[in-house]
Amino acid sequence: MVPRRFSVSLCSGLLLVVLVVGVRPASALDVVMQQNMIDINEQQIVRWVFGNISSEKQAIEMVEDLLELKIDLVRQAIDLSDEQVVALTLAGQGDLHRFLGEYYMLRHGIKLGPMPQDEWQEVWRQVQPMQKRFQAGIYGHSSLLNKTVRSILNDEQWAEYQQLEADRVRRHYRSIVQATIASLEGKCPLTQDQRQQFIDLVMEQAPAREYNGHRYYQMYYVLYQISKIDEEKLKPIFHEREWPIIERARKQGASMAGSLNLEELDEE
Amino acid sequence: MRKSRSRRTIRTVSSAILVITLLVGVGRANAEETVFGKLLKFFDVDVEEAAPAEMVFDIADGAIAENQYTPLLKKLLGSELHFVQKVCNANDAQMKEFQTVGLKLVGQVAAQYEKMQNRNQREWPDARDTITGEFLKLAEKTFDEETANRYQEEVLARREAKKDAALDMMVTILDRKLILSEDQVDEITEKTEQNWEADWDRNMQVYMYDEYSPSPPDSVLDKALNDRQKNVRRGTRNNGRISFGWEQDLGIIPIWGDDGTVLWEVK
Repeated sequence: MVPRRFSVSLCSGLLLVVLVVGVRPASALDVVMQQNMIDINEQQIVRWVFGNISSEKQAIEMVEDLLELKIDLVRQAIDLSDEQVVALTLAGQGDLHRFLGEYYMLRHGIKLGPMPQDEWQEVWRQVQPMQKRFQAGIYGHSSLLNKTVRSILNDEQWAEYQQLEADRVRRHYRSIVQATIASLEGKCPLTQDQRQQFIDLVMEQAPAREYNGHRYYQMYYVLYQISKIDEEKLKPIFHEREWPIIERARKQGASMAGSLNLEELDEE
Repeated sequence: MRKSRSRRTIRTVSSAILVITLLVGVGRANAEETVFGKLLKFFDVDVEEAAPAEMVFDIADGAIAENQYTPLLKKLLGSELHFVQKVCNANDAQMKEFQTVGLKLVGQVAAQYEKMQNRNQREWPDARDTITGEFLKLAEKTFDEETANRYQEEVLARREAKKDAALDMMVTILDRKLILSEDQVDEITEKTEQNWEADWDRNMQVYMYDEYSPSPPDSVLDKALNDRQKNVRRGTRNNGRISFGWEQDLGIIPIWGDDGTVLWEVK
């Protein structure tokens, strides 16, 4: 009797172990969960902040190249004097050094080597804003470079540069509007006339702007703008059956307002 | 001794119940909704793949193949039928003919998707292209020349608009990173269009993620970019392609979610 009970118990126990072990594949998460430690090295921190780059030296070279490209953009609109180029270069280097200073502060605060998961989460929380800032571009609206461009150009040059920037931003914004409407057309296919009227209305609704928040939200930003268009202007474009789909998109766009960092956009 | 036997009995019964529960749970767990689903998710088991495939019916006699793909494909067909009606102002008899042909196509595509799923293939044929391709032929037979031409023009214009949107997004993403000149924008746009790959405008959602979005081919960029731009490009993140799955690739579910609205009820 005892051996039989023992064997039944052993068999069901074994079956349970086989099922649990067999069903669950080994994964990277297992390793992390078992050891509960994450190994941090300097190269990882560089990659987190700067992208597909393996050293700080490379990161600095890349940002210096970006500065040259940014100055080239101004050159596309205006013939810059040597003095103006020097002023812009110094301003851009100022932005770079300010960013690098903050980066070094961050990096030196991070203990290299194995780290418990909860500590790593805290590190990641600090890294993310820097990563976001770098991705958005350190030569953006509030940069020293941008302010210097305004200060060294005369009114005529400034107007020409502004026009070039406006055309560029408008081209970018239009591509996002087109992509959003193309996405909408998967559900609600439009005729050429409808598409053209719709795109024109969205482009007229608000000044084109570079969406510098997380790119994921850029199409929602367009939906938000669609939600602001007067219904009397928008509704006539669509067939009666199509309107509920557009209304639903408008509601979704309006509901996303809180996630779009609209205050930051307004400041720009 | 009595206590020890009783504990063994309890252990045996509990193990047996747990084993049965797990076995039944594996078969019945539906995604994350059930306790079993959560348990399986914890164990990294893909419930959808573990679930048995639904039956596909023979469509030789005109019946429609019904499987997991059919409901969404019918919605796609509905949006295309609405488009036919809108552009061609078709009468009831004409719409019925388009629906009949469309349903057969839905059956064929659904069966094709099923086979691909079984072979673990993930490059789904474009169901919309399949449907509109057949509808173009049917339009020529069904409508007068002017109407058929109008339909063809609208279908092609829609296809072109989607391609243009994807192309412009590719160039925009690149321009934001590399600050292109206007001449470079024109050159890259033109050359990328000449080397266009159908997959690049399959799903516009991919352009919501810079690091996963398609980029103009290296052969185009090698000629168009200067050394500084090439250096900056090497340093930018690109995590390769991302797949949103066949449901999202059909495009019938908008990025903001589906509320179930249908433009044309396919019966």
